[in-house]
Amino acid sequence: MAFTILLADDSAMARMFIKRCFEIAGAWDAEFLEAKDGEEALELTGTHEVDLVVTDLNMPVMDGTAYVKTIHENPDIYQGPIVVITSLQNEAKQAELLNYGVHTVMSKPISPASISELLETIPGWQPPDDEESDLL
Amino acid sequence: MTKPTDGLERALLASLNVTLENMAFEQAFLRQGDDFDIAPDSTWLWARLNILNPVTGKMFIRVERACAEQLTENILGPDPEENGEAISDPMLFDAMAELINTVAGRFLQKLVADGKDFGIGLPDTGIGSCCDEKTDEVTRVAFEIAGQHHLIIGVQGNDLIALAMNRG
Repeated sequence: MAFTILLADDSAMARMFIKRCFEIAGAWDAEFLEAKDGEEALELTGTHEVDLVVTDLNMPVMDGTAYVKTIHENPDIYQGPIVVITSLQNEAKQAELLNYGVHTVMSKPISPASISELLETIPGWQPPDDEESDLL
Repeated sequence: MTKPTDGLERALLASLNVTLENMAFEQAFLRQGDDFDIAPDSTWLWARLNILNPVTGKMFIRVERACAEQLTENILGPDPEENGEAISDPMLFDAMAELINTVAGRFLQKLVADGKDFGIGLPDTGIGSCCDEKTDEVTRVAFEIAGQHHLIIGVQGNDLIALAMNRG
C-alpha cells in the first residue's frame, strides 16, 4: 500500500514543487493528496488514510495553524506526523506549533536534501526498494 | 524613492538567492546603475503582499515577463506531464506570488530579532506596476538574472523601511 502524503498549500506551484522534492528524496511511489486550504485539507484528512500531513500556514479560508489546532483537538481525525513548510518560520511560531503536536517546522524554500533528511525521521516511512526504483 | 542601504541590498540579495537557488536553480546579482528605471508596462508582472507585524508595510516583486517565464519553467522542471503545455498567466502569477512569499519570509527572519513572531498576508498579483515606486515610502533594489533578465524587489511603508534600514 502506497505511503500517502497530504499536501496543503494555496499555491499550486508550491504544491508541485514540494511534491517534486519528496519524489526526488525517495518518495517517488507515494500517493499525494492535494488541498488548497485548511478546510479542504481537513476534509481529506478525515476521509482518507493519510500517513503524513504537510501543510503551509499562510492560506485562505482556514490557515495552517487553525488546521493543525483542529487536528490536535480532534485526534480521531488524524494522529500521524504533521510537517509544516512555511515562509513564516520563527522560534515563537515553532513553539506554538510544537504545542499542537507538529513533528517538524521547515522554512521555505525546501530542497530535496532537506526533505530526504526529514523522511528519515518520519514514523512509518520506509524507502522504496532500490530494484523498483531502478526500473523507473 | 528612498535609497536603500548596502545592508538592505545584501539582505534582499541573500533572501532572493536562497529562494532562487533552491526553487529555480538560478542566481541573482545586484544590478548597478539606474537603466532599469523604465516605466513598467504590460511586459512586467508584479506580486505583492502585506507585512502585518511586527510593523506594517508591503513587499513586492516586479519582474519582466520573460524572466517570470524562465523562472516558472525552471520551477516546473523537466516533467513533461507538468511542463508539456505553454505556461499560462495564472501559472506565472502563482509562481511570482510564491517567490515573494518565500523571499519576504526569509527577509523578515533577518529583520525580526530573537526569533520573535512576524506575520505576512496573502499575495496579490498584477501587470505593470503595483504602486508609485518613486515616492519616499518605497525603497527598491534591482537584480539581474542570467545576465539578461531584470527583477526588482520593493519595500513599501515608512515603518518597514526604517526597520529594514536599521536591521538589514
